[in-house]
Amino acid sequence: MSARNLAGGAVAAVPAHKRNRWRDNHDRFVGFLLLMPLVALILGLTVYPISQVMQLSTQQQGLFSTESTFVGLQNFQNVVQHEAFGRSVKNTFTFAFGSLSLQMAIGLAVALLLNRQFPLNTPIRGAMLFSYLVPYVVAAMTWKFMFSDATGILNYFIRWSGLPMAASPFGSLDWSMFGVILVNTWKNFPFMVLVFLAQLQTIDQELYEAASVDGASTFQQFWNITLPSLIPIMLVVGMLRTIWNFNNFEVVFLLTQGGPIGRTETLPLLIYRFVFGEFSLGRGAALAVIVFFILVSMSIVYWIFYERMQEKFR
Amino acid sequence: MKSISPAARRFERTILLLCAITVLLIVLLPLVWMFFASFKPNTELFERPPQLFPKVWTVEHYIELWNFTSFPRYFVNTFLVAGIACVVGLVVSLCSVYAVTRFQFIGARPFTFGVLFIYMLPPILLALPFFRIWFNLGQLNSLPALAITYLTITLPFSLWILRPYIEAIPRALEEAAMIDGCTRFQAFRKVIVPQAWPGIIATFVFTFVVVWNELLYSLVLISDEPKRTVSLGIASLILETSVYSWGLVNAAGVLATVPVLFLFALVTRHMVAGLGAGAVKG
Repeated sequence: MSARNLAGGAVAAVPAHKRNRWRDNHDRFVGFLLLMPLVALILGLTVYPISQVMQLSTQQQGLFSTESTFVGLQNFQNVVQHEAFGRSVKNTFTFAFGSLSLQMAIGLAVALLLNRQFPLNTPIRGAMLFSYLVPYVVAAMTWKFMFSDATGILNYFIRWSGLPMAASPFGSLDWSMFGVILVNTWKNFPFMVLVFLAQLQTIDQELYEAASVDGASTFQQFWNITLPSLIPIMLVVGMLRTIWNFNNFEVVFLLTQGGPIGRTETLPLLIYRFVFGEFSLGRGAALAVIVFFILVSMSIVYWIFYERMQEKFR
Repeated sequence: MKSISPAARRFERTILLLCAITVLLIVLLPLVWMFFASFKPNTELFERPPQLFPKVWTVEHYIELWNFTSFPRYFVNTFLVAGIACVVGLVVSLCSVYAVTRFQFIGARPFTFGVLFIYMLPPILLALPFFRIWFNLGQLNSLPALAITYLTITLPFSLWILRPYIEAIPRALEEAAMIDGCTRFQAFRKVIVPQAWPGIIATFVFTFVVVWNELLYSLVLISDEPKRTVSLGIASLILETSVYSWGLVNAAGVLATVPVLFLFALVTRHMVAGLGAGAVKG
């Protein structure tokens, strides 16, 4: 949206009758100067590091050594054949989409609730964001505390109530993945609430009035009015969230460090293990490059959605 | 729906309020639990069944944190690093957003989308080469190096939050200033900056919170104990020991949360707009 306004705006900046070549060129030069720091920083802070990763992925290189040997695609072969690779890919997708569906469902339900009118609505909306704002370390710490064997309230509650669930899920083979998804959902669902609420407020209330005059039930109204107007934003935010869940390192690292026996080891954690656990920079870089290409393809899909949505809702 | 009586409506609103409060309590329970636990003496922390409220309130964990750990140092470190990264990110983005919205450049659109793409890179992908780069330059364990690395976070966020604010300022305003004899720089300083001030504050707060919360870069780049950030300090408490001093960790968690919620309360309205901005307004 914004970039399209840009063309018109730039022409309007200098009215035609005042335009003279010197002023024009001078102005453009100033604009160029203003843009330079950003370009330099982006090149230095993202393009260069990414090219470094690409280069490292073809080297055999220890973490703290200065020597490296070119090994071609050997690292890639090693990574793909590594016993943890397939498992990590599966874990990453389970984690990303498991979190996504929970975040979506809870986010939508809470947004629908908060979209109604009731007293104290605004402060409650604000407080609902708290879990999104706290640091990951705090989120991980407090959940670990609540599930800990000696001190945890949730641990105690599960034992007391006999829920069919491990009382300390982060150490359990079957429940550790659920545990990390739960915490990731708790941490990030407010983002969905925020986005959905913003979208819900754009829906024309007359649509609902007309529908209820025509005798549509609440569910029919939701299905035929609310949901269709949310779907575009759901696609876009869903894509973004998928990628962010995909990239998430902190939740799993802090809660389980990938364990027990690799049950929650996602791709970012596997990269971390290759590099800082096994000191093999080359293999870590190779896996990072693989992840990078998975994400580039996912981002292209996101971009296509993004463009389409813009065309539709201009 | 229109025929609902006032009494029925009041009843409905009360029910909705109760639902919302219940949801809110569930969401906030972990934080509330942390808060009260940080004031419990050690014996009460291990009590079964666990109680929410301390029977005896104590600040011993906070005193221990202040006197016997390096956490005060960590707070100073994090404030410095986050402050530098946010201010630099903000200034650079302000200039470039202004340039992109006021002048026409070939490739501006792909470039700005490219910056958005940084959002989607896994942090570990950048942390890895940064480790190597700073290692080669002998700058591992350096807080300035960490601040520079954080620009990869603050730049894209600042760009995308600031943009709508700058775009909304009518060009006529600065043209008028320039006709009255201002140079472009003066117009920028006296017209654009004051007009975009709410956006600038929101951007600063938002990026500050994001950097404050960040863990991975500091985990990878910092290993010297006195140079840790708050997140890294708490992370090492959670990760390094198997028997936790829970009171201490909870107190540290509370203190790490306070600045975030404080800043949030300060600029609630802008924050709420800012949080969604990157994803929706882009």
